[in-house]
Amino acid sequence: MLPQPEIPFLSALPTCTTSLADHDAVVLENRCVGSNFYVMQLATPNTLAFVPGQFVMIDLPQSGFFLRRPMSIMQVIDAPEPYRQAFSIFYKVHGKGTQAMSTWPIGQATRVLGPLGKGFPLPVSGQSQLMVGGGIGVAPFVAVQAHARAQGIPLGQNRLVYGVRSSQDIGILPELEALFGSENLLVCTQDGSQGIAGTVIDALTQRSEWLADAHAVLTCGPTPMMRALAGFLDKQAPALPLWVSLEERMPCGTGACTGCVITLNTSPLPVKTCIEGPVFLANTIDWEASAPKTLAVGGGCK
Amino acid sequence: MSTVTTTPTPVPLALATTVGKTPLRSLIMNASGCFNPSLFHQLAPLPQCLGAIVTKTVTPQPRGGNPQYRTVELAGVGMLNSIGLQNPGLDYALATDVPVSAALGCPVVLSVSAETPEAFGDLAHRIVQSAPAQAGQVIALELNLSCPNVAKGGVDFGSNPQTIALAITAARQGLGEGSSIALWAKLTPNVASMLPMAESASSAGVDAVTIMNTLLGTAIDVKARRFILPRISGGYSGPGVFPVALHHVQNVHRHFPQLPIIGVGGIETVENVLAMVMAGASAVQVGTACFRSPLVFAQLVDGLASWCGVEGVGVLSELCGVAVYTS
Repeated sequence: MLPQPEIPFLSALPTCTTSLADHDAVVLENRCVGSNFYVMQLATPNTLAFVPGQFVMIDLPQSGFFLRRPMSIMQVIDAPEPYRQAFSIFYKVHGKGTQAMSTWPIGQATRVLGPLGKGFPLPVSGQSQLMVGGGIGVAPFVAVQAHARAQGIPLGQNRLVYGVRSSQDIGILPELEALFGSENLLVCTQDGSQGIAGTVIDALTQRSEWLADAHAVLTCGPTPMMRALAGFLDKQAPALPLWVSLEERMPCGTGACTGCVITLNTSPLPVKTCIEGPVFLANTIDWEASAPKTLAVGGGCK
Repeated sequence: MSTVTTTPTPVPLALATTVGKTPLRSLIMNASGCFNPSLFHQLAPLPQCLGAIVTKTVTPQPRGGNPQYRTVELAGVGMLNSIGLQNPGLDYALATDVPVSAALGCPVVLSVSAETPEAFGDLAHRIVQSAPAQAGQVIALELNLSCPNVAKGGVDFGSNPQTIALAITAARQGLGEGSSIALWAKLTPNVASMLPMAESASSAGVDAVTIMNTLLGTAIDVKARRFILPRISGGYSGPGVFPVALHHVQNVHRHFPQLPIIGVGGIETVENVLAMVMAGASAVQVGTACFRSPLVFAQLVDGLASWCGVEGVGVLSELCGVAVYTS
């Protein structure tokens, strides 16, 4: 008998499946908020209860695509009649699928399967969460902080470091400032065009008291950023738990295809990101084994 | 809301079928490795859709599978996968996956693979002796023959009639005489002709053949000038392969009309299922379409039942092979 994976932290993460369904959905808004970044609002005729960090699989109804696209749920918004639920997602045009999504007009019909996966540890009063978002990876932290505010957790307990390439990429800054309070929000740009010049790690180095205050760090964004953050915290604050939400290629999102696996050092077999995660404790991840392997074949005359 | 109503209705009688010696309440099954029973059951009650649940392929020992990337989307036509048969091993599957599926109210088909004929025999023997099999939860073994035969230099079992026969014979011996568990062989299309493979499987005593496994395919990231999949090629599945699967089903059925066939490959619509049946399939499996819509089974059952009603067809499986034999 195979030893069962010892992943106790996973069972402790919140999940919500009460409204799991393949929901009809319609686009309420599809707004460009910076170079290639978009906020899309979707409405469903039924309730879609979720915990922050969960995601939906969005169908691309146009021809030319086959698989759905995983999107983190960013924020619940008021649903206009006759809908019962509306929520937003935050996406970047990265390939043909997101390119197609960026052209969807108001009223575009689609389907959203969800909510799926496990969320971030829920905010607790008196336990400061330091969130580190890169690019569209900031989306779940809007949900986390909205949840915290709804629970009566005061402004200032939680903080956000938001890393982007340039000032053109931070079109949702007003929303973030409203949620977190501008003094609890640190923007950093790789090109130095706004906020701290450099990476999220440069920002954390400059604001080391934020690390000292934190009870947990939550991160979502490009894998190299999260991996670097894990390495940084290993040295700077090894006792501080780091929760990461992984962005893997997810063909199904339902634990069916085994396509989105990562390697944990607590599990004998690779683990499905979509149903066991996407949130994991960073010190359980074998980053090297989880990284995509490409073949150095060909080469040609480049 | 698109989820199926919570007041259960049984599978329409028109969709019942028999594959060889095995009766199924519905001619629709999932294809191996494309399906999470527990989660799908939350979306639509499986016993009202499926004749059986086919497990992900299990091997004698756990396998970790291939590194990332494991999948590539192919615009409009499907996808490539290179999972590498990741699975927790037979013991784990017998202790968890099979009982979980059975508890959902579905009979279980165990998809199995091994690296030697002896290992196929040992797998079958262990399964027969297992508690789920003794409890009648396992109705068939589906031999996934797209696994390298280590004893023969790593060539896939399924690409050679002799090795197909070796694997089937060993599995048959492992099951023992008189076992009620059926033996199905899943054939690969990555051969010059599937006919010698089907003939060999039939002679070796399978109860049915599953046609077909994925087609070999690859994809290149032209920007990076690299193959996307770390093992270069993977299995091509999805709606784009449907005509190929349909061809192989009709061809094998025409040559071996007594050999029961389970048709699989790119099935997504009611028309696809009907065509597979008319080409000679006694049952079908739906795989990659599950990734796009977990409600595909419920939609197919509803659509097929409606079609039978409109067309005055009492039992759909009676149309098996009509396209082959009706001029």
